[in-house]
Amino acid sequence: MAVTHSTAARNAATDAVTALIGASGNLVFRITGSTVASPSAAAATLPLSATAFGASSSGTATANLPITSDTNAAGNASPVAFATLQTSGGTVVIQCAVAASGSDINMTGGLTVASGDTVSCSSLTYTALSA
Amino acid sequence: MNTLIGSSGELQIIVQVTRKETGKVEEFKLIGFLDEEKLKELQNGSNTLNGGEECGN
Repeated sequence: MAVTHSTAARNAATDAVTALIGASGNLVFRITGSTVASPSAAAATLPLSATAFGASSSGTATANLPITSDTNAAGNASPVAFATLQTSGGTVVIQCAVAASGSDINMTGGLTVASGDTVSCSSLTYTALSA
Repeated sequence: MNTLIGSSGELQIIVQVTRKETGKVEEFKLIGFLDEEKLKELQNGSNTLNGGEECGN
């Protein structure tokens, strides 16, 4: 039996998580082998706005723009396998797997970032609990 | 013991990669379901949201 949360509860959960990112956090795309406690190598690092997310509405928080592009990505021969949202100090708050199968994000064809590529993010939303 | 499973959320990212060598821009829409059943729907194509699709360039 699934648990249903009120909108107020969903907003509270989402805001509580995004608040943990704090000021000047980062969106980081990482290769395989990453864990929350021990993140893997970064293929690209995009600084979030000083206040990363706006207040949650209907359970969803939208990242404040702009998210600064990584104009000289570190890159890696291995495809991106994880996306993390983390504090300015590097503590991972949210981690999502990115791969063709068996992952939190299903990305057809995969994404490999080469050294020197520019990686940009035009939209980022987070929902802690679905309705 | 009864187990209650709460509904979990999702992360959505639209990312553009500009290739240093060619200048080509590739755009990806990433949808990360943190719920196992929704993830399976996404992976087998029964979900109307097409996660992880390369959107164009």
